[in-house]
Amino acid sequence: MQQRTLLDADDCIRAIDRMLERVHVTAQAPMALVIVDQYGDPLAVANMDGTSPFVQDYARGKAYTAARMNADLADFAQQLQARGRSVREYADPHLVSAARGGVVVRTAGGAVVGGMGVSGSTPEQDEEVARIGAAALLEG
Amino acid sequence: MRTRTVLGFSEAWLAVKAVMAEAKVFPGRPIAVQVVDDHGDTLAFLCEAGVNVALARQNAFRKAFTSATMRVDTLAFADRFDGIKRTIADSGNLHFTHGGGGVVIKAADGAILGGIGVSGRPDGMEDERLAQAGLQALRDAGVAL
Repeated sequence: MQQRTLLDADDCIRAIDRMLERVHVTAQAPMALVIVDQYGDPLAVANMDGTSPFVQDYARGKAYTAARMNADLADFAQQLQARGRSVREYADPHLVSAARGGVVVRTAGGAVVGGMGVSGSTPEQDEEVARIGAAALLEG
Repeated sequence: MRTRTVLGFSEAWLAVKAVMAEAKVFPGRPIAVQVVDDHGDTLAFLCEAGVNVALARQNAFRKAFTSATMRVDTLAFADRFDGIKRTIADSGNLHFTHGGGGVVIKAADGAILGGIGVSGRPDGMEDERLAQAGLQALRDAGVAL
């Protein structure tokens, strides 16, 4: 048998609210925020007014990729580039090779509990908001 | 050109939180809740830990989608097929479902704003109670009829 840590609704609400606060204050454009579990399945979705369908799907793709590949997208994209490989070689159509806005969420023990994906604004702001959300998730 | 008032994210998030608050007042098996706009597209979604992945997440969407696009609560949706010798399967839409837990959101003028879908409890009437809490929050906020 094994024990698995799960993110709960309260964790997701705290993270989404913390991110929304930040978006309302600083972001240049509306954003889509997605939290997935360790399988890449959505736990929470927040599609703000004015986000395009592309942005909404992209946020989900970023969260999925971070959780599935157990890596922040910045590191994942860098590894791919360093090795001269393409994300498409993994033969998973849901993986994205964006370099910002996707953060893996791990417990203190290192177990993957999920992924945070943010899209809609500049790469830097996507990344900043995703990190705020990922940090808030682990406060519970 | 025409304009149309549609449900916004902040209203959807308000409804999601109201459903989760009700789930704490009335505890039971973990749920998933989804709020969609009048197109059946997702505005907000939230799961409790341990929710049945295979069923609840899909059914929360299906209930919200059915309510929003067919302009009817899922509890009443099956009745539409009674007496016409047809089933929901005959509609050919794999997203349609019936039973408690899907409610339509209407504006004061009757326009469809979207739908709320809740799934996860063993009885559809428990899902229904939680979904109604979400709708009530939108009524209290002056958004829904």
